[in-house]
Amino acid sequence: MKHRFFQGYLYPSYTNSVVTKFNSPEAVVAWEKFRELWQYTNPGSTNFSFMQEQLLSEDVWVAFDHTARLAEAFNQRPDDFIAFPAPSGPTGRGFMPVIAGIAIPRTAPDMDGSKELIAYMMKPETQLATLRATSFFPVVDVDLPDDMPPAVQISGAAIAKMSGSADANPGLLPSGLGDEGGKFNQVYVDTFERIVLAGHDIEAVLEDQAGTLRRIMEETGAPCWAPDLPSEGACPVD
Amino acid sequence: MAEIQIRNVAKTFGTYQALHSIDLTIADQEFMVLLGASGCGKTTLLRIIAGLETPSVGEVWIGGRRVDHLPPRERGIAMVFQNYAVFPHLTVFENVAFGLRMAKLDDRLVRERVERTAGLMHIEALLQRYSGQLSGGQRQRVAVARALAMEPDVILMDEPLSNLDALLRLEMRAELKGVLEASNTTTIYVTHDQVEAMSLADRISVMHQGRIVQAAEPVEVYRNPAAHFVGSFIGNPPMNFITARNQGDGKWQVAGQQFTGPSVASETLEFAIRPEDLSLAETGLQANVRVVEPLGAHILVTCDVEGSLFRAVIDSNSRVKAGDVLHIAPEPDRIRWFDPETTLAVA
Amino acid sequence: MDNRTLPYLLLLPATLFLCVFFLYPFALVAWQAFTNEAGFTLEHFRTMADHWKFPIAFWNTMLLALAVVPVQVVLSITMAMMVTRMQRGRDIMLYIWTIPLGISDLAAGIIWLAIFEQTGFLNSMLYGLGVIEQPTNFLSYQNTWVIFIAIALAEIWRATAIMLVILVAGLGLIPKEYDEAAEVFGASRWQRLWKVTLPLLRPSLQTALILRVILAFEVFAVVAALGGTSLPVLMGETYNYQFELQDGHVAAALALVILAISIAFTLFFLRVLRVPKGAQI
Repeated sequence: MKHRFFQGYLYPSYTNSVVTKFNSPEAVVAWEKFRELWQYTNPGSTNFSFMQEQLLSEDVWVAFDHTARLAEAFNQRPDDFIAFPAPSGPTGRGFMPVIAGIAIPRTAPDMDGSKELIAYMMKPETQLATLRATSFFPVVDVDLPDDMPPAVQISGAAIAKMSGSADANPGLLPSGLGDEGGKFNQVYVDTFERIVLAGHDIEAVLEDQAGTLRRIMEETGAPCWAPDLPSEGACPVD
Repeated sequence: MAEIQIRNVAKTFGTYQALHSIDLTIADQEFMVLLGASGCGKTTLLRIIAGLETPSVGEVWIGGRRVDHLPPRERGIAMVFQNYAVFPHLTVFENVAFGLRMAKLDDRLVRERVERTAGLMHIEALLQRYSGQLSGGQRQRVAVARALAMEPDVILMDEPLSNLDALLRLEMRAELKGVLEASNTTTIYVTHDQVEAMSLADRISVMHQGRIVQAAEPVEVYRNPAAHFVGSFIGNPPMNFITARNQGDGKWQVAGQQFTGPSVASETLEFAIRPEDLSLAETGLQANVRVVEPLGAHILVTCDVEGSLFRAVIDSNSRVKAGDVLHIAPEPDRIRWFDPETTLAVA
Repeated sequence: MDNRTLPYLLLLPATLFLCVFFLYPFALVAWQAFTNEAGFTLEHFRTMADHWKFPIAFWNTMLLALAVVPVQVVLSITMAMMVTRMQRGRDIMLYIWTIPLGISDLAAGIIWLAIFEQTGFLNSMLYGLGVIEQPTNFLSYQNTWVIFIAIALAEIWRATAIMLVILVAGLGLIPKEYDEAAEVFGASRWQRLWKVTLPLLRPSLQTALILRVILAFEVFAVVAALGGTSLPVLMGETYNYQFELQDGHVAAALALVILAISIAFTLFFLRVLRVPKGAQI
């Protein structure tokens, strides 16, 4: 999930941008800070994927991951782990909530059945059942009952605190990239690997990767999304 | 100088006793043939001398030096294998040179020796070829050349001609004899072919069931077999045998006829005579003729003498046909006698 | 049926199979590697070569093959000679030695991961013996050489047996008389190995080496399990382009590079271990 960390947390918190200010003095500061922090991480973390495993095995004590990938740790040892909001930076507290949209293709053979299915999925009970089973939080307004699993209760409280904070700076998932989503993510991962793992010069790497990023944005024509300001046509890379 | 002494050598493979206490001395520069049917232990004995097998007990001495604990390369021997074992990945030249290279002779000397032996074996034209491009006879020559090039004290040959066709075998046999005589080496030659043995050997060791039954010059082995086995194995057709009853005073009765034999006490002896030592006569052993086979210069007559199978080689002028009743007379001084218990010859 | 057409008829199914499932996909891959919407292009190869990880992946792949294959050659020859000389229990030994062949490469990677990871057997053992004070992470991006060694070990453990099997069969084809002849004519054990056995083993050695080297260039699952992204190799990059980055063109270009290396090495071994005409056993 490290690409999401860079896109939704590091960049918004330091540059108030994901794409436009990819290669900017603020971004240089962000990467410098991150490189400094990295020395305190477990060197094996480049190969970790579901952080609940490393939390439970105590390979790590502090972890960043999707709520669904942390659930087991809270469920198994609710008294040993706490959830806390993402930290804030110079341009606010960047985080990445998910906005889900559901649509029915115009050519769907059973329009009514599809509508019924969507209505069912949007029902509070269905959403709660999904939450219980997967730790994916409801996308409709639901009052959480008290008997939720520990993971839901613990991470729910942290999420509420994070979204409600005064400096909250939510960013959206990348959109409009089509097939190029993987390459878009790779730009951030490559940047991380080159700067932090391989120790390359930050400015040179950002300059180089910005070129790749610009090409992707121009090829797909994807407009900017929050926290970048809306753009006419493809989101620009400065 | 390489006299070979085999002292009390025995070999067992698991529970199978391949050789029983062999004692044999082979003189320097002698051509000794180990002759026997397959499984008699002759190849095992050769491999023990070569150092490719270790004896279970006993000693092997070559040139006054005990060698049974030494690896083959320290025994001063060279060997020609049954399937030639000409290295397929080397040219004929390098095959012949193999042993010399291992002995780290310098290049000029190697070239000289290879060319000399190649000349001896008439393979000069083949030196740059690989064994896959040679005929069986040519490979045989290469194998012999490789052994001769070593100028060894002892050459060991394991059925070297058995894979050649009959005509080639005859030719190679004569050639081998000449080359080996000239080379002044002691030769031990294993074969199952008695003609080969007769024609090549200074002495033949006839082996049977892991024992040497007789070691003597070819003519001696033929004329005076030391045991029933030797008589029956050597000679084509083999010796005739029939039981003789003791009449006392050295007189023995065979098929109603009386013969003078050894004065021993035993009740019976085996009476033995070679087919060519029988002739037609007025009196003699009465024989019922079964088969008549003209051989050109002679006729081979197979007949029945009091229940025993007899073969006689007689003059081709004789008019004999199947069903005849003949009298055949043995040459008195060619009759041999064997003890039926020990199967050994009795004088 | 006509005796002349029969062989071709019998070959037909295999030929068709190869055409449909090898030549056709190969043509597609080549097409994909060299074209874009506009037609012929080398752009994908440029993209591939320009990526900062490509040279690293290329050299990692090469070095791995270079480190693993020679060790495997020595090991498999030694093991094959040992097995060949065994009087009893030969088959059982061979079965035991070939067990790793039955394990998928990913499973092999995971087995070795269980040994080397921070909570793995090696750490427990060293800790238990008091050699280390606390479990260490051997497989971190900071010391890729340890990852390299772990991968090399896993590969050697997993894939030596394939060479062993070929060499045992090859040794069985060499008549014993050659070795005995060499022994009689003065060759020591070493000389017999170098001057007789190995030269005669060339055809099998060639097959084993070609097979093994091609597999070495395709190394993937073991690396993925032990190294993650810390030690990129060509096959991993190919996978990444195809499935993560959804760029079949560059993946195809990488696949062609791997193919080219494999062909180059195959030709190399065919040439170096060639047996001249007439020099076969």
